[in-house]
Amino acid sequence: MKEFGTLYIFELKKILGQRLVLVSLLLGAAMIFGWNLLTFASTGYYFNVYDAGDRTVERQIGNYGAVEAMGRDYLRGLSGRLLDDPLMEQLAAEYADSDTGTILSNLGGYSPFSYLNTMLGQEVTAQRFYRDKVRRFEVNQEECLLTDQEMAYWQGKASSLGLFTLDYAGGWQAMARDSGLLCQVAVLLSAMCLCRLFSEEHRTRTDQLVLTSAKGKTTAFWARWAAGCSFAAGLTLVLSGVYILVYGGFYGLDGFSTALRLWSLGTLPLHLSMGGFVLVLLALLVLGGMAMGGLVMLISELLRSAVLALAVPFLLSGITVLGLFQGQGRLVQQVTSYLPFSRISTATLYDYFLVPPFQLNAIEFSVPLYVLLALLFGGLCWQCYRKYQVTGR
Amino acid sequence: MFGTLYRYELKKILTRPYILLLLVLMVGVTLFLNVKPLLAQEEVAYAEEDGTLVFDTVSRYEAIQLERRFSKEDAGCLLDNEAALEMRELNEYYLEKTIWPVSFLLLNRFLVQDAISVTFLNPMGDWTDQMADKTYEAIAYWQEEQYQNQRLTQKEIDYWETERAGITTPYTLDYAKGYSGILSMAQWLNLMVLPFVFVCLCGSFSDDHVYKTWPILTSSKHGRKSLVLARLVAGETLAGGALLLLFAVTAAIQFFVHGAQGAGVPIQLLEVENLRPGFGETRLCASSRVMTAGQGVLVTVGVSLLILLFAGALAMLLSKLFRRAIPALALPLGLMLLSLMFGPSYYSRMQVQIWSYFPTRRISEEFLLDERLVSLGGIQLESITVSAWLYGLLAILCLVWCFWLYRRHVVEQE
Repeated sequence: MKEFGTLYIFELKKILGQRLVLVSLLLGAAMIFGWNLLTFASTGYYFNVYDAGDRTVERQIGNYGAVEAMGRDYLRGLSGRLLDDPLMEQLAAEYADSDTGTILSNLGGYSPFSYLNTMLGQEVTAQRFYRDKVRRFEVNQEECLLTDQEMAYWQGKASSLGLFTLDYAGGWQAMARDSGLLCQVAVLLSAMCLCRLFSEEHRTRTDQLVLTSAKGKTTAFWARWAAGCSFAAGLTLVLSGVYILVYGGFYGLDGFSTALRLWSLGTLPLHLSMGGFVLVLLALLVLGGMAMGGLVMLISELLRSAVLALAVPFLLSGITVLGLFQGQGRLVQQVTSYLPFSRISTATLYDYFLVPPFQLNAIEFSVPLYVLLALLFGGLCWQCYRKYQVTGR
Repeated sequence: MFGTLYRYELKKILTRPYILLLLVLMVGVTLFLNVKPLLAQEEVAYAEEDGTLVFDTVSRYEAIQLERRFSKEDAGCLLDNEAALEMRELNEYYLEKTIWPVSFLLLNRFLVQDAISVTFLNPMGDWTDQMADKTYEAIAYWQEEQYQNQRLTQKEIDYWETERAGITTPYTLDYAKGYSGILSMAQWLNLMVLPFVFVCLCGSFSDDHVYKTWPILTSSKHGRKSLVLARLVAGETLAGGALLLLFAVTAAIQFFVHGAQGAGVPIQLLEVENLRPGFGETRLCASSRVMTAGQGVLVTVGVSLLILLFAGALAMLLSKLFRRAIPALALPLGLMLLSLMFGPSYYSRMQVQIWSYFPTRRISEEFLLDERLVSLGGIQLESITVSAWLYGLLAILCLVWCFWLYRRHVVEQE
């Protein structure tokens, strides 16, 4: 065990000693920060200037940062209030004022306001909103390729959703919305730092020395593999921390406990808070990062090429980004949805497939899957490592 | 000596086992993408010479052969009101004759009905007897809408108004689906070869540094000029060769299935399919270019080739600049990925135009529809000309820079 510890620390130091690690960290942090700067400076049709007299909305080009600040100030005023019939009535009445109506029509990111905006001029009650929009699981079963059992499962989850407490949750919503970018950055940067870990021994012809040494066959391998996996997890954790800090700085961290379904994106009726959902995604990112790190190390050992070990995650990421797995049938769609690039993104909010026999939903199944995959890749890597003996050449 | 070194460098790249594997994989994917749509089933209806009406469910390949068979009768004919009326009357005659309550479009006048339906008009519409005139009006409508979609300035609109006045009407019909097929594949071939080139060439110069062979190489007799030139040319040969190989495979399949006729058909009659399920197709009737199908394919292949030559040159430059293969590979792949993940704001015409020149974005279904001009010293240049100059010059710049770096990094200067 002592040898393992010594070798593990040595291998970890070897990885952390690469110049690429510092570059990766700085690059990852710069990308997260830069993306927020770009978002806040971007323009679009945001200001739906509302006229209370004739109840018309005129679209105007506005700045994202200014619109977000407008919504934030309004929602902070409602912080902690339960969305019930009196409040819904009050919100609907606020459309009588053009200025408040303009703010409300820009709050489409929150499901109650998205509902109010579409029901303009009609009678609305909180009860009807919960019944029609929250507690009803409404997707096209045929188009989404869902079974009756899956429909019943999600309907059951939707029916038991509770009342919403209003608050501004822009920061957590933005974190969930941009989680795909964080996943790409974290997984690909860790792949960049790990791709040479095993292939380097073959390139420098030191594999012979390692394999013939006393601890070279087993302890040295597992120490290196564990160091690789911990590095992947560590880099992902550090970038996740930077991610929360940067988004907290730009948006604020309030609204952690607001319901996920208060967000109008996606119709997945999960019993999770907005902040809880982000933390679940980040936890999955750490596990998924370890599994991808394991795959990179396996390719590095199997093909003895750092270039290919790096190219494979990029290829998988590119195929996911291009959406080439979509429309290829349920099996392909379901299997590929577990790629971290797809799972740690808003695509999860549209993933209704369950995994038999325990009917686990995508998030529940991802946890054991990523752990098992990391171990499986480790086992396969060890097999390749042991097979490549001095006497076997 | 250059020839020998060139062959050696090319062999060095190609003998790496994973390069051949990737090449085979790319050819396999190209074959798959070309052949897969041919296996789909579809319903066809046509009238035989003896007047028998045939309904059948056939594969897409068989349907294409029927389309080709019936297209022979109309090949070289003009798309005019007379032809449109004849096509409609023929269909109406058989619709009345049939006892089944089904609607169908006969393959017998395939070219005429296909040319009308490309504008989203119903070829069987009986609201007018001047269907061909209405088709040309619809094409003009889509072309003008394209001006709005791309946010063209008045100057640009004037340019394209003059250009489209040169399109000869009525159109001469022919079966040009082979050319549409090649255009549909172009984007995917480009996207496949781009990462392949970076994977193959990211170690081209960095290996000299990793294995510390650069002092020997740069001190040898032919190491300073012939070797670097041979290596650069070999890299560019691989980049261009891989792309041309895939286009050759595509052209061979498309021409075998559809035939090579129809090169002279105006691009306005072509449809470029998106190979992703559910993404539909792009109809080139919205284009104001005076261009034939054959020219459209040549231009697309040409620009794609220049993009790949630039990618090859960039990969070798980064390999020399970073002196390590991993950053030389990660940087371009990362940028490619970002360009696919994010797009510019639709509301900024400038951002959209700049973004469209990114190597992963340039060759797309909309490539021949791009009508945003670039003003350079008072001269209005159109997107194809700009693309050719841009990628050509960038490729030369990267090659010269790499050559200069190599010549500068010698033992006596260390």
